[in-house]
Amino acid sequence: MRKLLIAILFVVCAANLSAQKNPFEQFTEMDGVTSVYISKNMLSLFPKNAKNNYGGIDVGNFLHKLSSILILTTEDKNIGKRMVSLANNQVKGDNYELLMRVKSDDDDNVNFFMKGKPESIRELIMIVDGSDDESVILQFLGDFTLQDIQKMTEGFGKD
Amino acid sequence: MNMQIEEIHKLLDRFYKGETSLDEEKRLSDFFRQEVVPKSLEEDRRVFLSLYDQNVPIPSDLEQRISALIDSFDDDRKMKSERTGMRRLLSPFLVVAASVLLVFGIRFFVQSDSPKPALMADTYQNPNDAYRATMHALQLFSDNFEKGMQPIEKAAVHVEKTQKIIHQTIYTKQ
Repeated sequence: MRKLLIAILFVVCAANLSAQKNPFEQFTEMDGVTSVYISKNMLSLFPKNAKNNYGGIDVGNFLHKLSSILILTTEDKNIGKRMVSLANNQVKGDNYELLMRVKSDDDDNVNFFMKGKPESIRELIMIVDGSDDESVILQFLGDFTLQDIQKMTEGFGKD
Repeated sequence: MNMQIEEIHKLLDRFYKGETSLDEEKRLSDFFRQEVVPKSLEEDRRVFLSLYDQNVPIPSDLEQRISALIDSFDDDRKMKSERTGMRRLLSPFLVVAASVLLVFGIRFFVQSDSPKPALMADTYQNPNDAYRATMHALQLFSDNFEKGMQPIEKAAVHVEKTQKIIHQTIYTKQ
């Protein structure tokens, strides 16, 4: 009987976990943090001739595979620090994989995390720890590949 | 005699209704045992004697039969306990299997029931604004991503050069 109760408890917990909200939603509530959320519906409404607007970069392919974009920015140093450390804890605790770590000349630390496999990435996160200027968290949800990202970034790199 | 028989009738009526006292029942049984009863009471006499007759012969093998019966109960229980033993061995697996089924069942239910509801409201109502913000985000992402990729690409170029040199040296040596 006790085993059964434990099993039921476990099931309820598991169900709760799987029904968990977007872990980065909490940051949208933070004071001093500007958040931008773009849903799949909004993504599908993007202008069809978007290609032309952006110097022939084919981002449509990448955007098409996304289910949402979340952008969190803050220019306040302290809030930025807190946001970044909370985000780092979040990715540490929730088996994200570190994709890339970049330290630029102007002392910005940028970490890229992903969830899923390289050929099927479900979530991509960029955390910019701007020591002097704004800190940014970018979250892409969807189902895309590392190649899609590379193509997209190459397009932007050209101009 | 007639008086008595009438009284017996009355007592019998009450007896069948279940209203007689122990004394009255004793009187009835005494009556049926001792006296020759009229035909109208013959049926009642048989009922009464079968109920109250103490001298039922005890079969000589009664004890044997009873103990045989008890032994058979015992055998039954043994078989049953063997079966429950099997069940006890299996029960942890059953519990695990049941809980796994439950987990998958509920997960399936949760997923199929709510295919990821929109967690947050769209920030922009206008697709053009949203598009601009997205492009800005992608630009920022790409800048940083490229920063990370450049050293790798540089390294790749170096690796390629080195490989070429190695190839050349191997081929010229041959």
